[in-house]
Amino acid sequence: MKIILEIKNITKTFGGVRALDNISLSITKETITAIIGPNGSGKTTLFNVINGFLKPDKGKITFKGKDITYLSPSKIARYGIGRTFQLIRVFPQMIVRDNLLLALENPLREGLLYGLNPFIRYDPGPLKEKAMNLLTMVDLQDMAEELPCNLSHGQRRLLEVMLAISLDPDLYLFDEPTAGVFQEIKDRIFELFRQLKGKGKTIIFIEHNMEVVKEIAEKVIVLDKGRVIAEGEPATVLEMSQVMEAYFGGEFT
Amino acid sequence: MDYFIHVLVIVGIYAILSMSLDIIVGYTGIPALGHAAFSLIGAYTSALLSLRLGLSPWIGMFAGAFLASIAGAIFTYPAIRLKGDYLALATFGLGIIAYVIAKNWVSLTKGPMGLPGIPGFSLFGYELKEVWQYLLLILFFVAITYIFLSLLVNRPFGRVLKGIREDEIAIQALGKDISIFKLKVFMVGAFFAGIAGALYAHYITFIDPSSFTLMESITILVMLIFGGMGTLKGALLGAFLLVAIPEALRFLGLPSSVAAQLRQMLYGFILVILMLYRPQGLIGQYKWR
Repeated sequence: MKIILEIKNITKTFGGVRALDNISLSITKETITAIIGPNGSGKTTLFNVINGFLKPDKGKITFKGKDITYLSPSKIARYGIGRTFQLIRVFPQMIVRDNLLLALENPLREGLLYGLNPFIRYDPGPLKEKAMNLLTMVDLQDMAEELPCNLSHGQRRLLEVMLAISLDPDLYLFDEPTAGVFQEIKDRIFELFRQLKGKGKTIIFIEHNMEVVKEIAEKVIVLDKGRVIAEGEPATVLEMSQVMEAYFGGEFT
Repeated sequence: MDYFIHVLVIVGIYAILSMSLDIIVGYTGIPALGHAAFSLIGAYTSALLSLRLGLSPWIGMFAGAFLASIAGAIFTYPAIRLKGDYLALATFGLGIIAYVIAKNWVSLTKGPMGLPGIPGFSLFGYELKEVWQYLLLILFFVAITYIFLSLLVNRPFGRVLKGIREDEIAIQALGKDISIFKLKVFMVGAFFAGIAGALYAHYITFIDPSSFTLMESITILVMLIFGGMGTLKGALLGAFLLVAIPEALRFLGLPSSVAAQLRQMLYGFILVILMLYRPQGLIGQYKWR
């Protein structure tokens, strides 16, 4: 039971609103954790604080034993946290394969001098092959030359997930990966989750569908008004009365 | 005949300027309105080095380009945190500052009187005098600029630039430090703009601050928008058409006072038509907002 991510007393306020109110969490390596909670409970803010897009007012985030609280988002990504977004973010005017190349490229070859040196031959062949293999995993190989706008919503979601996977981080943050996508693609995404876990990766995802949470997550964390109101195994947590109350405004009778 | 060749030389200088602006505006999506500032630095550095110190224009040109590049880095470093329109305003400010310094630092630049008698280029001890010789020289530099910049934009560096243009949030989530990339792209753009400025100074043999006004930056940007952003060929095409079309107006036999105003109107008209019917430019790929 090794802890990969530790969040201690994180508080983040927007004006007078406490989006995160003294949150402490720890995530075990090689697990799948679901975060649930009503709208505005701070789920996405928590993700933004973890990967550096927002800086917390106070508190500390430790990832793989290193304090990452005040690192820039790009540094945090390179250190091993990949993520997807609630509203899909891919690169709309680049073909699908080039989207993946962005994530797969060796950073040493992204330098200015490498770019300007006429005596180096840049061969993207092996990377393109790698990208095609990744696309084949999710049945997008026929769309490799298309622009993302020609993909369906679900396919774009798959592409975004594959972008995160191409980066090969140790911890994945998926923000509502299955919102508005077709069942078949949902199954495919969850299959990917299991494969990633098998490879020693850790996953945190935000989800609204309780059936899915029960099926795939080993741990569930319930947020409400910026606080953790419950955490533990899905089967027990989802039965708790305070969780029901947060979600439905009252207990079922 | 010399007149046509002269027009082509000017096309070449603008081609270098618009290509070097293209990697900033077209490829990286940074709205930059102060590009003439970099060519001003290149032109004045090179001119002053050859006038005051008697250095060869070749040395002056590269010194000017490096200085422009450094100025690009110094300017970019604080400005890069701004986004969208605010960054556009900052670059606008840079253009004004460079112009005002050149105009008021009289002891160095002679201010509005300008610097006359800038020596021309010489090659293997042979001084370039004819216009066609300059045309060859400039075409050589257009080719060099095109080759290096197309290498750059087609390699991983250029891919990241396009990624920044498309989505600054997503590209950071993929581990790219966008500030560093913006800084570098400004340095490269400023370098080639400095080259263009120096070529201009040694070709015309006279410079004054009015050659590097804000209007000049806008002209370069208009060329880019006209030809098409996000493609170097678009920048070349835009430079050619927007220098050639106003020159063609001379042959209509209009009085010169009318022709000058007509040129401004034409620019505006072309821009409006283009924004309505072809926002990505004639052969461009990228639509600017």
